[in-house]
Amino acid sequence: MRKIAVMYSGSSQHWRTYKTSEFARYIDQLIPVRQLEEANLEAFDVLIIPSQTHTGLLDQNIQKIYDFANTGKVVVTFGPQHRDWLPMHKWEFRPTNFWWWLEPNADSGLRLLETTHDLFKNYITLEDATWHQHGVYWPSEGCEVLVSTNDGGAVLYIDRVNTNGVWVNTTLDPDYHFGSYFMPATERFLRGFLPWLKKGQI
Amino acid sequence: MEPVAYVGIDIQFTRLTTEDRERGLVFLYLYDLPYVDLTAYAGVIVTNHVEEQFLLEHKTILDKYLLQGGVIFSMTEISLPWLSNVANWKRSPIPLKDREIIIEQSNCSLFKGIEPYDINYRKGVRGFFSRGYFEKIPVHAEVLITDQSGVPILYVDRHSTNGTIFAGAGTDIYKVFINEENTSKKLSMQMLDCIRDEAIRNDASGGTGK
Repeated sequence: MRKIAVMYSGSSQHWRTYKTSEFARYIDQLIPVRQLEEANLEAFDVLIIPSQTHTGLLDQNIQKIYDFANTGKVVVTFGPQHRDWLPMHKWEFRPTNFWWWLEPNADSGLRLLETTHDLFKNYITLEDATWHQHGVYWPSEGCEVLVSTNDGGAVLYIDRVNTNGVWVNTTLDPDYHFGSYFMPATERFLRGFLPWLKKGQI
Repeated sequence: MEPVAYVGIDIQFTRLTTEDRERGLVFLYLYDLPYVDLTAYAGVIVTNHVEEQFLLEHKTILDKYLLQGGVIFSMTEISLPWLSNVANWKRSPIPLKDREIIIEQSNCSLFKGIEPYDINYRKGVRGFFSRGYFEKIPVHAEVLITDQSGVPILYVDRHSTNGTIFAGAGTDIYKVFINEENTSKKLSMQMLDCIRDEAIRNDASGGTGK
């Protein structure tokens, strides 16, 4: 079982998702964002950077997060990032369509590319990862795109090539929306995604 | 036009536009709170993008400001007791698609002229206004918004302190409807007007230290 730490911003959404909900049991330690700089991450296998994380305090810790990844560990980033800081970060903003599911023959635009990947074979379905998107990544060659838009932009991908660690990056923001109880699919996503982080094949 | 502070951490959702700034809204970085004089503002809007533990650690600053007649409009789905007499936010058990947001009769002008439908729906979808409520509110608080079960979603409290507290169990009602093409568009400006009116009222009654 992997030990999971969360860079904890202390917003109401993060409080509910990571500290007081059913998902808290998957988290071994919340590291308050103001204390991350001094925190010892050696004991952890996974570090989650939540969506809607404070830009300035994230900036102060980017090298630390890279150092963590470069020891062969896993970094997970949720939601659109507010600046380009991921390895070979190539982001394309797209306006959010909250209403796509009301349209006739509704199509979220999402495509599952890696149907046999452990995450989607044993933990979640594409529907569990479907609410809305804020944009897409265009990962560098060698990255594994699990979920994309219908024009090939990455919504969830795994990067094992640009550092010595593993980065699971997604434009999806389940922790923010679960914490504000707005998108029911986010509960299903986290019910599968967090157990996968804990014990699945990453 | 007196400035109104908009408190948050630095993320995309909290960034102000030129229009916001022209209305006198000023971004106040959460972690600068200990270093500013809040009485320089007509009021302080606390967004839902704040570190609540930090606010709890600096509660005395907010308490002092309220003692001086300050106006705080909280939009935080609050989970820690950093704002005087504001109880924890609770998730509504009513499914969002069935939940009706009700504007209560009031002398407060915050929702004046706003059609209930326009804050219940955005392009046919419910849930943007609020997903929760307050289980408990101060005795003399004036409830402005409820749902069909009668629970308070937004209220104003002019009695617990020398100042005024607006507490909302909802989303960022300054920003969420600002670009809509219906009556809800007025809400952001009416919110600033209300805050400024309260500041004048509190000042006239001698509450403020200004």
